[in-house]
This record gives sequence, C-alpha cells and structure tokens, in this order.
Amino acid sequence: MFPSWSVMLWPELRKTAEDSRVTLANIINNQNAQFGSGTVWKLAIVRALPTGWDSVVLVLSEVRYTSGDRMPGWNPTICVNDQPASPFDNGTAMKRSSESNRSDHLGQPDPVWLRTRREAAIVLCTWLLCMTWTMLYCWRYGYADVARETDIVFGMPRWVFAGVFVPWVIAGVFSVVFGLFGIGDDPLGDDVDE
Amino acid sequence: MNSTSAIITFLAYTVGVLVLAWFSHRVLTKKKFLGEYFLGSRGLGVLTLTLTYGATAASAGSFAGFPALIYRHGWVLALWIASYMVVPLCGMGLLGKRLNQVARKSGAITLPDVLRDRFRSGVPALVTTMLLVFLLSFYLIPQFKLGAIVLNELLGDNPTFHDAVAWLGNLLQRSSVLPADVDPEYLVCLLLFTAVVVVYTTYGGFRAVVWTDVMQGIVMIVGVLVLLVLALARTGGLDRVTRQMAEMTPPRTGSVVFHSSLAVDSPIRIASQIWFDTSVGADVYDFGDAAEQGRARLFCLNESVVIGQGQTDSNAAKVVQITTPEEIARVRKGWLTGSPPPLPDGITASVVALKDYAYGAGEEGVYISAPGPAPAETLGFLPIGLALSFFFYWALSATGQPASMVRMMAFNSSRTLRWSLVWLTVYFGLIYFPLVVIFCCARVILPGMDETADSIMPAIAFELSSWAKMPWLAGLLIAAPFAAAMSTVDSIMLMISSSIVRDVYQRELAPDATERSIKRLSYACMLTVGIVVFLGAVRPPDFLQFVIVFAGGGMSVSFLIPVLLAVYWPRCNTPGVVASMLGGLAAYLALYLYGYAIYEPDRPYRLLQMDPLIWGFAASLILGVVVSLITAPPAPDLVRKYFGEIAPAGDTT
Repeated sequence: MFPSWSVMLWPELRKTAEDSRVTLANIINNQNAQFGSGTVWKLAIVRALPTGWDSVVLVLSEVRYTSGDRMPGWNPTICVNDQPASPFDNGTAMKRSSESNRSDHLGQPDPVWLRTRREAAIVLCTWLLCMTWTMLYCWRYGYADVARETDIVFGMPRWVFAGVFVPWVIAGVFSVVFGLFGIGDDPLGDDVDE
Repeated sequence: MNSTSAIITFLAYTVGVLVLAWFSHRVLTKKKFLGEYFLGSRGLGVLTLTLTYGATAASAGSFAGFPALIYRHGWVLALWIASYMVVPLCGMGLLGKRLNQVARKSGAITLPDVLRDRFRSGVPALVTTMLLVFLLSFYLIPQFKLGAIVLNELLGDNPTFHDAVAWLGNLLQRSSVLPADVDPEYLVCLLLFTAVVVVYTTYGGFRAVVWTDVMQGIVMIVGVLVLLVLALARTGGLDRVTRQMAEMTPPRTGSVVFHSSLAVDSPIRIASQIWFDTSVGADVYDFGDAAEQGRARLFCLNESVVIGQGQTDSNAAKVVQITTPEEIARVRKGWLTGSPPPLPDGITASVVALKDYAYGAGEEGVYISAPGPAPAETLGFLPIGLALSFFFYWALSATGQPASMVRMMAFNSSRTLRWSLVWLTVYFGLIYFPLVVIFCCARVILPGMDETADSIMPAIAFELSSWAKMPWLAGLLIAAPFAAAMSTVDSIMLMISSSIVRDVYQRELAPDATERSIKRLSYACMLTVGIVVFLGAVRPPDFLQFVIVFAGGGMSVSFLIPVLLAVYWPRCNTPGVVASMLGGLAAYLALYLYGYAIYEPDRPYRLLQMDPLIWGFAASLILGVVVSLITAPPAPDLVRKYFGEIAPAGDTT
C-alpha cells in the first residue's frame, strides 16, 4: 500500500490542464486521468523505480494523447511520495520538479520559499555592507575639511571615487554575478485559475 | 530650439507609442481580458522586464528634480543617490521571485489580490486598494504637470503650437467652465500629454505600457549617454570641471523688479536668463558688504517678467548673483564689451532682496565636498544622518513601490528575473552616476541658473546640441524626460484602474461579472482616472517634487514590510499585515504633519536627522510582527499552501 500521491506536472502540460492533481491509482492503473477542465489525458508510465516500500520514485517519461500521439514538449518528471525522502529527494531531482503549486510540498517546506529567503538574506547583507562602507568612508573623508581640497581621482573628488564610485562598481559586479549564479532557476508554477 | 525638429521628434515618438498600443490591443483580443489587460498574461521577458522596471522607476524626477539638485549642490549628490548601486539587487532580488511564485499560486493579478488570497481575507485587500488609490493619486498629479512642462519646453516657439495656444486662450476668456487665469501654453501641453497617455494606456493595457516603457527606456539611456559625451567634450574633461567647481562659491539669491521711466504703451516682456550688472543701470540692493562697494556685480534673471500695459513696474522676479571671480570673468568673456547687453530702452532694474546661502556662503570647496551648499539649511544640504536615510530611501523605496511589485508578478520565469537583474544593474549604472557627471558639467557650462534649476535639463540639451551643431539632437535629448514622465504615469493609471475593477468591482461587488462588463468598466475606469487627474493637474499643488517624494515614500512604508512579511513569514496573519500597513503610514504621516506644523509646508520633521521613511519602516515592522504574534495564527492549510509543510508547528518563525 502506498500513501496518496501528488503528481507534479511540467508547465508545458499544465498550460492546458486546469488541475495538476491526479492520484497514484490513476497512474498505476494506467487509467485516463481526469483534469478539472474536462480534458482527458492518458498517462503512460515507462518506469517505476522502487527504492523501498515507503519511498518510491516514478519517472513519467512521456505523456500521450488519447489518440496515442506523444505530447510535445514533455520532460521526464520525477514524482516522490509523502514519506521519508527518496535518494532522489535531496538533489537535482527535486530541483527539476515543478513544486510550486503543490499544496503539501511532499511534507516539506516549499523549496522555493527556502531558497528565496536565503537569497533575500544575501541581498540585505550586501545592501548593509555597501551602506556601511559608503557611509563610513564618506563621513570620514567627505565631510572633513580635507574634502574641500582639490584631490581628484579620475575626475572625481577622492572621497566620491573611493566612497561611492568604487563600491558602486563592486556592487554592480556582485549583482551581475549574483544574477547569473546566485539566484536559483526555480520553477515558479503556473497560474491557478480563478 | 529648432521647433520643427521638436515637432518631428514629438510626432515620431507619439506615433511610435500609438502603434505599440495598437499591437498590444491585438494581443489583448486573443487572450483572457483581465490577466492580459492588467498583467500582460504574466509573460514579461528579459528585455521587457528590464526596461519596464527601469523606465517606471525613473520618473520625471530623475530628469528634472535630480539634475536640479546636482546643479545646486554639486558632487554631494553622488552620495545622495549612492544607494542606487544596490537598487537593482534589492528591487529584484529581495522580493521578485517569491512574490511572483505566491501570485501564481493564487492566480493574483494585482497587489491587493495577492494579500487577499495569502490571508484569505478581504480586509488587507480593501485596505491596500484604498491606500493605493489615495497615494497614487497624489503621485500622478505632479507627474502630469512635469510631463506638460517638459512638453512645453519641447514645443518651444513653434507657430502651430502658438496658434493652438491663442485659440485656447480665447476660449478660456469666453468660457466660464475653465479657469481664465491658467496659462494656455501649459493647458495645451497638459491636454496633449493626457490625450496620448490615456489613449495608449486605455487601448493597449499592461502590454502597451510595457512595450512603450521599453521604447521610453531606450530613449532615456541614449539621451543620457549622448549628453555625457557632449558635456565632457564641451568642458574639456571631468578633471577640469571638478577643479572649477572647487573654486566656486555659492551665489546670492533674491528678487528683482524692473522699472520703466514712463508707463508703457504695450506690455514689455523681459526674458528669463538675461544677465545684467550695476554697469547697465541696475540699482542693487545694499548688501552691506564693504568689499563689494563700487564693484560691478553680475546678476542672472531666473524667470521671465512682464511690465503690463500702462504700468511702470514689473512683478518681483527671481534673480541670482554669481560670486565666483573665475565664473564672472568667464561669463563676461562671452560678451564683446565685457558687459552684458543693455536692458530695453528706458528700463532699469532694482534688486530688492538678496541673501547669502545659509551654508557655504563665500567658501570655496563646498561644491566638491559634503554636506554641500544650501540656501536655507544651516547644516548644509546633506548632513550625515540624512545621507544615511537616503541610503535606506532609494533602495527600499524603489523595492516597495507598488508599480515595481506588479512587475515582479509579471515576469515569466526565474531565468528572466536573473538576466533582468544583470541588465538592470548595467542600465541604472549607465544612467544615474553619469547624470551626476553631466550636471556637474552643466554647473560649469551654464552658471546663474540656481533659482530655475528645474529647467537645467532642457537648457543643457539646447546648449550642447547647439554647440555640437546638431540642433535636431535637442529633440531627442528632451524626449528623455518626457518619456520618463510618461512611463511612470501609464503604470500608475493602470494600477489605479486595476485596483478598482479587480479588487472592488469584481471581488466585492460583482463576482459573477461577465468579461464584457469587466472590459467596459476597465476602459471607463482608465478614461475617468485620466480625466480626473487632468482636472487636478490644471491647478496642481505647489511643491511638486516634495509631493512626489511624499507619495513615493508613503507607498513604500505602506507596502514593503507588509508584503515582505506576507511572502516570507508563515506566522504573519491578517491583523498583523493590516497593522503593518496602517502603522507604517501613520508614523510617516505624523512626522510630515508635525514638520508641516513647525516648519515650512515642504519640510518634514526629521527625528534624529532621519527621514520619516525610516521611522515608517520601523513602525511597520514592529507592528506587523507584534500584532501577528499576539493574535491567532493563520490557518494551517493556508500556511501549507504558501510555505509547504512546516514542522513542528511552533517552529514557523
């Protein structure tokens, strides 16, 4: 006996499906899955990989229309149950799954929420660091009498160059690196119909 | 300015905007109306997200108020704007992905929508809607006025424009509906600006707004980069500019009255920006400075004045006396005789009031150091506490703007967000720091405009394009601030309309409304908003920049912390989020009202030298957390929906 299942579907399918939820029975019995919109899809399971009686991973490698044609754009989808994590549960497999619209998140916190929280913390730390450097440097050198002397670097007063321009460039480089490598490519889910 | 090139620029720009609206409308007819009209079907890609975010954030203030401040206070504005180094990171990285995900989970298309579904309660949504309509209306009217002013500069002395003005002037005189004392030139420009914005926003919806934002964003960055190159070439390099600024001393500002020896037969107009000195018959206010006695002092008129028919005196007008010897010598060098051209026959000037800057008067080096010279504030323009406040202000205020949040709900994937962050960093880097450089150059190129610094942007555009012998370029350069005003206004109009149609009508009054009725109401709503704001802008309030800053800050303290709590903190509940919204705004308003009571109308009370925004954020955070903790936790299924399974139950913080 298996606990109830929630199947994660890729966005390509959910663009046409009104409800992502199907039950394990639908899949195991290879029955037609009924979606909210009334559209009927036939889900074909190519492989089922049991990793323990309470921890099973299913790979939905393809989806076919009732006519038998393969659904274009379908990506292999990994489904795990609600019970203790499967070997696929802690790495790329989970990241590849479209988790965001699931209501139970497989008994775990929403991974997108956890990751965005971490990213937000990094952003706040960067902001704080930039503020500390700029304010301390400018307070020390920009507000002092020495700032009125003509001490110029790259055409700017030295305190502007070191207190504003340099951190601006560094923050810019960090933002670019953070955008390219720091922010996760999490699937955000599809719109729930009103 | 070459008015023909201005007209061509404006027409080409307008046609471009309307064509984009037409294409948007075609897309609109093929998709679900509400989601497409108000959120573009959540389909923003990298280019569109970057430029719509950038163009919406850069309001007309970026091209009018900010340049004016640089011109008046010098290099310290680099510190004032410094937190733009992290605005892209904060604006997109702090909230973007999570807000987008939460909006998708609930199918939300507006900010009130998100809060309604997140808390499964109509109360936060209604409070949000009311605050949005209230604060955004404050924000819109100054933007309309700024758009009209920029357009006025753009159209200049074009004969067609003057015919239209004359026709409207006659109409105003005969009509009892429209106020007769409104400047017809301003009214024509306001009408044109309103017509274009209302038509393309109403017809095309969110997608038209975004596409025109893209065009406007490109116009802005091209304008800034061209100005940068020309300004540096014209001055001989930034090093030279900074050295000249180091020698500058702040001007004296005051007022002047022009006299005619006899009552004039027909009105005599004396244009703004003319120079005069004591050698051409100016009767100068006795400043009591012995060192200046007997020396010809040089003044620049900072607004045009008229001596009316049958009168001998003009009204008092703003005037600036420049005090830097090098600057005086440079200005005089531009005249063949070394003296300014004479005033019209029989006209003399009396400088009736003149005062030194409260901070920096007579001191060299104030334009290249902090806190910068200031006419009224004895602590200087930017005391360190205020500089700290602005580091909070720009980064967090930009993040908390509802228009920015809506864009965070509209992109199509995490990848789009990541690349938009990259390009927005480059985009803002190429706009804001270069603006500081350009208008430091402007201070050297065009002295004596301290009392009319709001028009420094068009003035420098004319000067540089004329110097480069490319008069057509002025049209493009002036289109940049016009585009900035337009791109902000369209987004805000759409937000007000969506709040009313979606959050009040569809959600509260008519849940079963048909798409057809919603569509009609949306169009009607957009038109009504446009007309109401137009009427409000016919007689706009004074202190425009102050109103913009006030309304922008008010939106941030009302929404940033509540939305952060809503999307990141599972324990946050309905009472908490409402307390956070209202508490933040109340603290912010209280400090503004106290400032209004004890200072001038345009100055808030800054507790511990900190801007009210900081105290608003603090109140919003404390109230949001405390009220959430002392009231019942949200329903477990609601927490599970947005945060997944969080166990044990008590560990939700």
